[in-house]
Amino acid sequence: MKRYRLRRLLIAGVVVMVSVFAVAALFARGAAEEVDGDVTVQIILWPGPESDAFESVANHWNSEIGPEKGIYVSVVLFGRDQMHLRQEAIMAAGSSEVDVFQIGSVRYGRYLPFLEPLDEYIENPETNPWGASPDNFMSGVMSPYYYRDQLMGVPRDVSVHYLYYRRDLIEELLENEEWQELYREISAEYVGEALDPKDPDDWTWDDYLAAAYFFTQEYNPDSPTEYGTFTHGRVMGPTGFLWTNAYWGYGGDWYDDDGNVVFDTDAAREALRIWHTKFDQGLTPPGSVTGEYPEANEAMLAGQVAMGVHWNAAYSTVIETEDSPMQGKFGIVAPPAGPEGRFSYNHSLGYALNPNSRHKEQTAIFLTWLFTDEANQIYGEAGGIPPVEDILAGLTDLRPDFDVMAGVLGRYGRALPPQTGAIEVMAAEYLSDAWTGSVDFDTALSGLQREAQREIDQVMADIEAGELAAD
Amino acid sequence: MINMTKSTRRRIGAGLTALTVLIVILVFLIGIITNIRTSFMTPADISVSPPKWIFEPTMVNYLVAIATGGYNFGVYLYNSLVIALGSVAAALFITVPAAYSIVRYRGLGDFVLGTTLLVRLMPALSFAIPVYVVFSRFNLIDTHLAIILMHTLFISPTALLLLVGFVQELPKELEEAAIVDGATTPQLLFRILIPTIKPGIAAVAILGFILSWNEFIFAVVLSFRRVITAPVGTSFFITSYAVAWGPMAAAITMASIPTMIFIFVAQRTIIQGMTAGAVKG
Amino acid sequence: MQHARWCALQAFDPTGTPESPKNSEVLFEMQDLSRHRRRVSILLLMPLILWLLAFSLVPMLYGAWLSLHHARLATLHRPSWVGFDNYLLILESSGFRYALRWSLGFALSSVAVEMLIGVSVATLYNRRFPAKGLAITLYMLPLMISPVLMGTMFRLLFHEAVGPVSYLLSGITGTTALLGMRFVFYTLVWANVVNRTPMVFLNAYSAMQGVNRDTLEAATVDGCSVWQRWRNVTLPSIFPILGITFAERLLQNFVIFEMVFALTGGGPGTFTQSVSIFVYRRAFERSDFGVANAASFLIALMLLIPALLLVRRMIRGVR
Repeated sequence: MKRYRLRRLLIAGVVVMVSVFAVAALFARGAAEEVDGDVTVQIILWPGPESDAFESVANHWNSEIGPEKGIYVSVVLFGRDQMHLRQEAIMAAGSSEVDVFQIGSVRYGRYLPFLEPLDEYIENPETNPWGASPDNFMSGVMSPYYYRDQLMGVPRDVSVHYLYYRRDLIEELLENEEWQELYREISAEYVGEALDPKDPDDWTWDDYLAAAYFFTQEYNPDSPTEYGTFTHGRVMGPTGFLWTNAYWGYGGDWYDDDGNVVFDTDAAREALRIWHTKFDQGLTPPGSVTGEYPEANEAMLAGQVAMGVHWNAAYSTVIETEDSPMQGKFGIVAPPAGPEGRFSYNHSLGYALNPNSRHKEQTAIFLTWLFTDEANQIYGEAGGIPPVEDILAGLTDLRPDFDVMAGVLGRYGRALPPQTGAIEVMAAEYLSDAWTGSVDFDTALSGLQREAQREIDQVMADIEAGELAAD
Repeated sequence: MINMTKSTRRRIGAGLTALTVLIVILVFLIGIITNIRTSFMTPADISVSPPKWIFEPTMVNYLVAIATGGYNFGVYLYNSLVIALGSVAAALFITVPAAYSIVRYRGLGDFVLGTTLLVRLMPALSFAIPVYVVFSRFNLIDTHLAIILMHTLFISPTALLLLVGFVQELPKELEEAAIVDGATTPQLLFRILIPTIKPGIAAVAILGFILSWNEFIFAVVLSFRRVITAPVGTSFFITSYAVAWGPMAAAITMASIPTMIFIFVAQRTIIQGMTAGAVKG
Repeated sequence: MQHARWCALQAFDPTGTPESPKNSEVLFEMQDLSRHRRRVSILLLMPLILWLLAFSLVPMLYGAWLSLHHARLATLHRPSWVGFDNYLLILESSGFRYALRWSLGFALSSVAVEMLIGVSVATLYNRRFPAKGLAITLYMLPLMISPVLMGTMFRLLFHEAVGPVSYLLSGITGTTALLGMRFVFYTLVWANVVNRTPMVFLNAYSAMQGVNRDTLEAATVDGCSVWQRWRNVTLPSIFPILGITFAERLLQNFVIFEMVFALTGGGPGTFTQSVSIFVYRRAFERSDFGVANAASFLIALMLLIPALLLVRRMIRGVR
């Protein structure tokens, strides 16, 4: 008696569990299936100005074009930090949950085996009824999207680095002779030579350091700002990209012509010296070692710093907004020049087709439409940054920095290739160990060199393996 | 006379205790208080140095969190609630009998306890991709059940440890008497064990609820659009570039209100249960 | 003197209910249903075992299998056998050793502060005062916020220029740069302690509520001081729970991920890199699941032995 009751109870419990499991599984399967002939294209995006702008594009499509084609677009948001984990899980499972991945131009290298090339769809008039062509896009932005001559995605939002500087303070510096005298003294003592104040558009990295010293209260008690500059220090890819402007300026690059990683160079030491000086000499707020974009904005808005190499997005969404305390106070130019040239890092977000999508063709119809001027105009007007020169030029009323941006991109723009995403965080980790002084330059750079090369080799091997499997 | 003095003294003591408690709470809640403050501020007020303490409060962040574009905070809260309650129920269902078995019968129990502990020690992240791959085979992605199944697993070690402790305090004599009276094992469980360890169950419920409510990694990996939980929804305010401080603070504040009410109610149950136990004990 | 001895004697029998091990053993053996008993015990364990098998053992075995393979995102479905290479890769990495040291230091500091504060606050709460229910709820409030989110908000609240918390604390620290190299470790410990001490408090407080009132009263009547009562009556009876709590908090602090990752990202550089962040960076950010699982197993194996010893002791202690 006793035994039976207990066993029955537990068996019943297990049965209930299993059946709930099964019913839910069935229910989930049923729900996932399409109800009628219409197709919904699912696009995964991270929230931000890009997805807000894209929402307008999607709405336009869903009301104007979608009904006619029987194709609707739906945006799925995922937080920035979890986005890649989520997307990789989808890829690893071969899931058709989303039709379009969001992948940055520096990141998609290691995802190549999980992306479908778009060339066929562009050439096929059925999937490209618009006759749209990727050639309308800026070639510098477009080039990372070709892998072995195959088009791997549609670039969308362009990001570029500016040197932000307090216009009022620099103007004062260029006029006030006392300030100029002090500037020369400070630069002679700390930078090594007496520098004259210059317009930020003519700065070298040494001018930048001199100005950073000048606007730091520790070196100039009369400085109106507490610190000269804000330097992103958090361990994440973008931190390393900001440093890359200087690395390029001193003649270095992440890769040589054969695609091998190159970090253990004198150029890297020079660029690290600039960054290390900023942290070591306290030219940047001490907390900036763990800060990035949001912290930089707060420091700039609070009037804590006079300048900083920072992302373009901040200009129109943070600095030049109506209620911004710093409206009109910041000027923007390309980052300072090094002895080997002046560069502004840029990259773009792109949309790529999931080869496991259950309606690839319909998705491709939408993706090719994104190459049309119609789509890009809407995207730009809604606050996005489409990589089409004419459209950017036509939007300067709405976005005051587009003017500067076109110039910066055209003259100084430089991008990193798609495999970079595999080593970007690693680079930031080693570099930030070096510039905070936890590790000496040689150890950090040789360590980074070794580990990054191994990782890049792995990524290349993965791509080969993926391609073999696809054949 | 003596009585009066005593009660006055006691009252003063209670007042002093309350004051100390207030200070402790203020120190510990400094992050939450300033977070609530941020939730009522405009971006312009947030970005002021030194920080402002007097400002014109605005509800705009709450409106953004509740009803802007892709955000649907009400649904996120509902999902969190369903998942947390489901996980707590499932965790109790599997751990209460197990705890009893572990304490009263040797052998397999200790092994199970050790294995359960191992689960807690495995960094949860390492499960993420395998679990996703398996669950997507069963079409369980983006269902409440998927997240409940995993959260139950994460609650179980804590629940088991706590319950084992509570069951151990249960005097054997009670059960022995019941066994002599001819009680079956289910009767033992429901009539004697569960009523006696009610405070333990309440504690497990609270802890499990909190664990599930705040769990992040699996809620991210296993949800897609229908079962997004409050913390995952809140993380949407960490955008491509900026963190939307105001709306994020508002979302955090809103998400903690239901749990606060839950705990306010449930902690009374614990205290009552414990007092009752002590009187009889 | 005599009081002290009496007070100390109480420690031997905190519950006040003398046990008779002989009798109970005899009674349980008298049932003479050892086969039945074993079956009942297994049936009672069944739901948990099923759960563990399905959602823990299966992924874990899959993980163990992956850890012996070269399994990156692109090759996840066709991994190639590499034996213990992934384990060696981790063990040879100086970053892993640094992360282990850091995590140990962090876990010990955090757990020490947590236990001290948690037990003190529980003692403070363990008396009558007005609005106690509300006070308990408020004290537990930090538990209700996901560390990922709170950690992210702390980036603003600890911001040097605009952060209200760093502004308020600057009187003590002398600077608002709480996330700079000098203070970042303490800031992390503080953030973690604030967020997780309520766990300790909850355990300690409920244990204190269970302390036998009669014993306490008897001790009071006999004139034992507050400290003596606490030391000789309260502490011994809450000690088992404190032990469990200590172990649990130590282990959880050791594998901390969310709060540290959100607040500092393990940086600057690898300065605050916990073992979990190490694994995340080495493996997940590089989509290298073989190495990720190897590292996870290494950590689990390291923690398993102390944890099992502790659990065994805890079971034995009461039996």
